[in-house]
Amino acid sequence: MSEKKFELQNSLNILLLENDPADAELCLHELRRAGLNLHSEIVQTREEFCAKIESENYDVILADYNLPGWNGAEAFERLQARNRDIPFILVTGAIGDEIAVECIKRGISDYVLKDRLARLPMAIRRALQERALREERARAERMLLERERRFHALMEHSADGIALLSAKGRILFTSHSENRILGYTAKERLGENALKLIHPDDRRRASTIFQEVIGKDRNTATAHLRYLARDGSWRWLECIVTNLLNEPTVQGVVINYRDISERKRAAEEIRQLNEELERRAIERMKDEFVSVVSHELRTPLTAIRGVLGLLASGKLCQPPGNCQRMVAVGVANADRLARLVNDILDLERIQSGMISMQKKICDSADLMQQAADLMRLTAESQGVTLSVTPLSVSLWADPDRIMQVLINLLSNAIKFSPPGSAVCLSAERVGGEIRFEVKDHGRGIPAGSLTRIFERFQQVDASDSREKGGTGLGLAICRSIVTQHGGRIWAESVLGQGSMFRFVLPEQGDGVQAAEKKEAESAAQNSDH
Amino acid sequence: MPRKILIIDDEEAIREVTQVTLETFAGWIITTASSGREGIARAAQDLPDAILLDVMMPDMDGPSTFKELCRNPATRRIPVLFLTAKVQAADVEAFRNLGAKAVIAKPFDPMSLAHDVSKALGWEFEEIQQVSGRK
Repeated sequence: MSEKKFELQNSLNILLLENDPADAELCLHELRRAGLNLHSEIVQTREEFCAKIESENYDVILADYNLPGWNGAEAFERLQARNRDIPFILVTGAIGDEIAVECIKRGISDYVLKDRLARLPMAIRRALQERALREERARAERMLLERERRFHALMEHSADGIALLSAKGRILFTSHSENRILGYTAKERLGENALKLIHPDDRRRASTIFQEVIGKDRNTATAHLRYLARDGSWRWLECIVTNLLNEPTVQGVVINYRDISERKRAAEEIRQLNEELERRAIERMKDEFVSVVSHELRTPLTAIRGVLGLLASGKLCQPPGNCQRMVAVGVANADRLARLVNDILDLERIQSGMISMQKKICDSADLMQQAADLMRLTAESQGVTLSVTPLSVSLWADPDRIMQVLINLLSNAIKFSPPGSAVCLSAERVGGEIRFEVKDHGRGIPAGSLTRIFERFQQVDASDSREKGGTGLGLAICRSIVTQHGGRIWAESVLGQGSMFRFVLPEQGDGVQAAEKKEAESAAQNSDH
Repeated sequence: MPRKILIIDDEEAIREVTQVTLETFAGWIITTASSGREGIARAAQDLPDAILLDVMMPDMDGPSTFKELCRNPATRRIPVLFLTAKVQAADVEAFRNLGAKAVIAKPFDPMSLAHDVSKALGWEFEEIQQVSGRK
């Protein structure tokens, strides 16, 4: 505005549309008299006027209303058509109030009657001032618009999101028209309850925090919550909730949120790694423990067993009958303790993978025959008949370990068979697998114990380990071995009629492929490290 | 002369039981050592027909003792049997690869120890008790 005043004081560029030269001169005279420094051009016809407003720039246009063939209002229309904001003042004879009002409505700055020309300088000043105001306002509006656009763009492109909620938790505004974090459009979410997309497990917590925040003016809280993204995944958002309900320009609860899923994932990975390290440390401690126990238990056991063995042999002296019986009990129990230690260590090592299965191609019939041969004497000593029906199938297995399973099952079956009965070992091919079966005619196993017996120290009867000399670990070891071969083991039984232990192993083809796959995997894993 | 056997074991009870067992069942002459170092010295001095060597011993363990025995030309040819409470298949394999004649697990049965040792060394067990002066 001050700029314009300066212009007004210095020089005014005026276009005068007037077909009467005398009137034109009067106008200019009046302006000069008022002390205005001006440069003027006078045009008389429509063509001249149009050419001038097209080519020149004026501070003010003065126009007569009544012109030959047209009028001042039409001239103003021409100016408007060219989108030029130049103060336009009618300098005219009497035109009537209606026309005058109509002209002002259309945007003409002012009108001055020719017989009141003294008003003209003031009308010009006021028109120029008004234009300066208009320009100022337009500039301010442009700036505001610009600021708003920048603000919007900032919000739109910021990695973090902002949402505005009502006191009831409805979404009033979201910063991103297209929410990059969760994938929804702003429109979709407006009016929705903000809890709707929160993970069910986090909802109660979110609600509590929200209630706490709105309980006190300008209260703020931070929460990590899971939100359902449009693609169906759960994203971890860190939400800073601020109560600005009483802030007149906001009137809502502001949520600033950012996606911390990656951070959470990394933290989770670290936690898992720590757990894994811890697990390995424990595993190592266990291995060491197993190793120490193995040595520390066996050493005194070796001495005890040795001494008892020497006494029992009768080589050192000939003890009386009672003493001999007691020594025999000592020998039997030292042996049992030794077996127990062996079995515990065996089971630990198989389960922890410390013992890897030495797999090779072997024949099932050979394994069955060898196991039966080894157990034949034991069976005979119990008055039990051992019958084998071998089946020759090529297996990919650790023959020593499979023998261990067969011997264990046969030994159990013999132990629990009444004298004069038979124990049968057989095998069958069942859909790509070979199924071994050890069948006895003993007392059987209650249905409720059929699964439990494969757990550690879970014999059907607690007195079994004493009477039958078992360790309570045999079946657990069998299960571990079979599992390590990719097979399954289970028991079936009819009480009073006998039991049937069965286990299946994959045939060679499957096993070899599986082994190759596993080897390839472990090779790939090793190359990762 | 009966066979001479050296037992190297840090556990006194084991040394004693093993000694009595072998003396009683086989009639062998037994000397003992309570550590790897002592065993190496005794082996060089006594030149036994075989050595029963414990695996887990403080300071110098069985395998180290065995390697040391092999380094000395005087003791290099004495057959060694490991006696161990650590009976993993992989360990047994490793001891055999070292050159041990056999690996005998603890606890052992005294009735069969002398037999097992003889068998591993290719000795005729029955004759041992009467044989004299033959290495």
